[in-house]
Amino acid sequence: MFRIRRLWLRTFRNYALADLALAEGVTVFVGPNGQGKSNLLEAAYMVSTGRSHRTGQEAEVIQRGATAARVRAAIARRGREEELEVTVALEDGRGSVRMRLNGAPSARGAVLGRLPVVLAAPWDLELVRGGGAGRRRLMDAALAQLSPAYFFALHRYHRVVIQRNAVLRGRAGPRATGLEPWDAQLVALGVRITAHRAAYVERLRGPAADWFGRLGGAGTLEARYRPSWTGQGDETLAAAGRAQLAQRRADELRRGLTLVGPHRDDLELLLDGVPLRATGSQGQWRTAMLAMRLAERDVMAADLGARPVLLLDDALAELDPERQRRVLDVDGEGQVLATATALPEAATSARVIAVRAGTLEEAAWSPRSATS
Amino acid sequence: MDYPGPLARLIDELSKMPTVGPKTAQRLAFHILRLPPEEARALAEAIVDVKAKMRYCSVCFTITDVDPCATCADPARRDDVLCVVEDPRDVLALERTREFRGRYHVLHGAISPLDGIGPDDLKIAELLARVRDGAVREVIVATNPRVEGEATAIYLARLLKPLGLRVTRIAHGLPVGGDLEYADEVTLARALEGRRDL
Ligand SMILES: [Zn+2]
Repeated sequence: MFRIRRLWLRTFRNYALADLALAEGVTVFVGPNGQGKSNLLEAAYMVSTGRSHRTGQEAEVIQRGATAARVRAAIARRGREEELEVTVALEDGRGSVRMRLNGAPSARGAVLGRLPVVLAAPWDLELVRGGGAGRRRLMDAALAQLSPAYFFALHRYHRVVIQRNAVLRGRAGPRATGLEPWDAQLVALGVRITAHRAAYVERLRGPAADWFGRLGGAGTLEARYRPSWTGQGDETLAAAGRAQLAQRRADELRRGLTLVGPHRDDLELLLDGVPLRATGSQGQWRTAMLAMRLAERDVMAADLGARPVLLLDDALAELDPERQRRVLDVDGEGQVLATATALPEAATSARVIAVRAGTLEEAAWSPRSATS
Repeated sequence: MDYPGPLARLIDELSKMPTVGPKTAQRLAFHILRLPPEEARALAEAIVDVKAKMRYCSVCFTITDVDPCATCADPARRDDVLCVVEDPRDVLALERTREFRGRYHVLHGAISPLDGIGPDDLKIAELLARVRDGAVREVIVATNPRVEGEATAIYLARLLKPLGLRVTRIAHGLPVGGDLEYADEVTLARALEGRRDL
């Protein structure tokens, strides 16, 4: 069981200070747009992953006039109480992110996965129409929480790409070692990343298709991994990687860039066999992405033996009550934090918190009186 | 307001030290200002002394006050195994394990194209000269487990294996991205034991 018991924010976006006790089950933050509902989910996401899902410029979360933003979470993890903390401090105009686990400064890799989370947000639509980077992140965010080995392989892989690009640009000069020491690592790490991603998407496919149907999506949703290197088994994958490197060498030297490897993988989303971006309506895209996130939760739950915390940012508005109920059904186990501008009809047993201008207030009204 | 000349100069010098920011530099400078004269003098002398008396060993390039260093001069150590590390601090870390009885070679860094560091910036030519004299049978590459250390290990293996040497890499039970300096002794000893051929 993974659960946030308490969330504490300090000069984080529009919250000067917030201290929020959270229960298991469903909590819905209700209020007009721009009042700070999404900021709470962003805070929960950041304290568990060290990243914001909304911005690559972490300094944005620091309240105007402050020099740092801090989020602390008291969590329950497999029956144990732990504390996570993330601080974004302004350093030379940029946000520097530091994490703590039970009070001790900790590397991001050591904190990831302590509180597994899945987040569905309006930004997910960009995953349908945008470039491959967002869709790679969709795979990586789940895998990094599930497997420290994956996180470290990915981290090292990116460093290898950066170093290799420096060789390709000739920055190392005539004394360079050549590409061999970097190619060997690119292939070895790339094979592990590819194998992990392939296995993950294979498990995601079924639940994603199921959820798409259960959420009222018309047609068949299919998620398909498009790896840079294909083949059965590590040796075949490595051979494919080496062959591509040899084939693209001249291109790579001309452009000064690593053009081959899993940093160029993609995840294809198809509706009845046609790329989703070319066929669906925005409504269908939204349903498809929510289905992907719920499938992500299912796969993570199967691996972890308990459900990750589900963060639903404005993800319920377009669903009818029956489908809302399917999404919010926690089956007596698990925690869901959701935002909405109006209380979802299906949230009959949810705890409701009204959010207005960065202040939080337990709503005394029941769902019925709110909707009447 | 600026600090008076000598104080400003001390703060300026201290703030050049790694991990010392302007605030810490100020605090240290005021602390030094309040020291009894003999303590301040002892600190200054220690700084001058370390530069005057410490040097690199002409054989293994670790840091030493006698040349050759104590390890290189020790007749009881094995000449057939050579352990290659990035930094003199790695020698100390490995020595603390008491597991390794061979000799050392300090590269003074790792290959990093991003920083413009290639083989010529490291003590690699000196390493080749050392192993060519014939006594060394095995080279253990104990560069850091970061990708730069790994690249250096791969590069060294390519140079050394054609010379008929066994080239091994210490096992990666080490925290990834961590330095040997921070690995505890048990971890390091196990890493030495579990080394693999490159
Ligand atoms: Zn020496």
